[in-house]
Amino acid sequence: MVFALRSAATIRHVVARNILSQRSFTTTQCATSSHGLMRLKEYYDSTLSEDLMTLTYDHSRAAPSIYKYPDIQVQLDRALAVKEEEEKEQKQQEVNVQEEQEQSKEAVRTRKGGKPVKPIQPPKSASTIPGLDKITLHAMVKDAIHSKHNLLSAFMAFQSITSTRPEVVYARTSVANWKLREGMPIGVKVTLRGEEMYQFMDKLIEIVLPRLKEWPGLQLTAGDGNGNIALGFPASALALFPEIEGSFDVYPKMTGFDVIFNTTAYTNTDGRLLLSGFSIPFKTKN
Amino acid sequence: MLSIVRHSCQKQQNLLRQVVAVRHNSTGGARPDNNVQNGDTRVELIRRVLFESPAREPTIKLEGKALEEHETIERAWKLHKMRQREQRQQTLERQFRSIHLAMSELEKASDRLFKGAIVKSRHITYPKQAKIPTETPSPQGWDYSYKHSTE
Repeated sequence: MVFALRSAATIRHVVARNILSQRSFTTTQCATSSHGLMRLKEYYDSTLSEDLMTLTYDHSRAAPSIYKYPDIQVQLDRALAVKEEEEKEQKQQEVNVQEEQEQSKEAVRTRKGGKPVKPIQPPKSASTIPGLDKITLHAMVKDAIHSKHNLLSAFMAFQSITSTRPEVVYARTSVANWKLREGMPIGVKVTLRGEEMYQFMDKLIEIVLPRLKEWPGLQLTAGDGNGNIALGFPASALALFPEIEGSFDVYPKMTGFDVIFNTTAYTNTDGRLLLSGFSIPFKTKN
Repeated sequence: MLSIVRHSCQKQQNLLRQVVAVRHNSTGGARPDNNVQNGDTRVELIRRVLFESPAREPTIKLEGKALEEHETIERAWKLHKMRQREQRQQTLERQFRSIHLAMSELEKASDRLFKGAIVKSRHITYPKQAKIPTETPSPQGWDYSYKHSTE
């Protein structure tokens, strides 16, 4: 086997990138491998995705059939594309005077007042199965208005829970009633993707949610209309996380926070199906 | 980034814990007067730990043959994962095709059965009993007396 030699610059870049995924054999610092096990992801890949595909299947809006052999698929697509172009040319010759009304669906759809329009649900296929895209943690700390040092506790708490560096949220507008000025640091936010997201979700499902007091589960009407679901936690919930449980006194001020599950689902039903598949309890009638 | 940040977070937490343990060693009941002081010192400590931690050099520097070996393993693993992903995607596409075919056949065969096969409810949820598999069984063992609650 022959390995290509790399230049010095790329070696340095690659070393910097790979150092973080090293396994150290010293006793001083033990770096964990970044190729960790993700229980929830494995469950999703092996079981949940297939079940969700079956449960969210809709025969009236199924994508046109995909052929088993990709070579044939490519040839067919090309042949169809050529045919479409010929038809378009014919149409343009006939309808030359009229303006181009063949706009995309997205451009034609508008709402009164220029309000944002919902994305169009694509036809169902094996690549449009609902899945977790990202999880966003967010806490607005009202005490940060009179002293921005009050944000530090929430910052540290988020960092401990998620093992990612949070970002500070600055006020978009000024609100005189709360003495809030634009640009003031007022909240903390963390965006989790990939491995971090699954680890956090695992902690939430196995440890935090079962220990919440008097929480019957998510509503069956939960969802923002586009398949994303948000959940709010009181300040006491922060103490349930294993990272904070042990060193409770270190944090001067516990804050409530919200967790937003951004999914690749297009409807609330699909989003709820996904989350219930991950064992997040929903408040059913019985 | 993951492992280093996680470890630096742990280190910061350990630091905080040690200092606060020393301070609280002699505490008894609630002392409201000292709370403000403690809160201020804790905040100061958190601030220092978060933003004034000394920058550290990476502990491991691979060079030459060891680096090559490491990179080969990384690439092989990524290739393996990619192949797994593609295999999974093909399986899903095959399943989707067979569902589509089955539904088309059902539509032709029986109208009643076809309507029955369509999911109508907007509030369907995954069954609660289908828990995510764990590496070890539960301490209570298998619940033989479990009965599914019928609505």
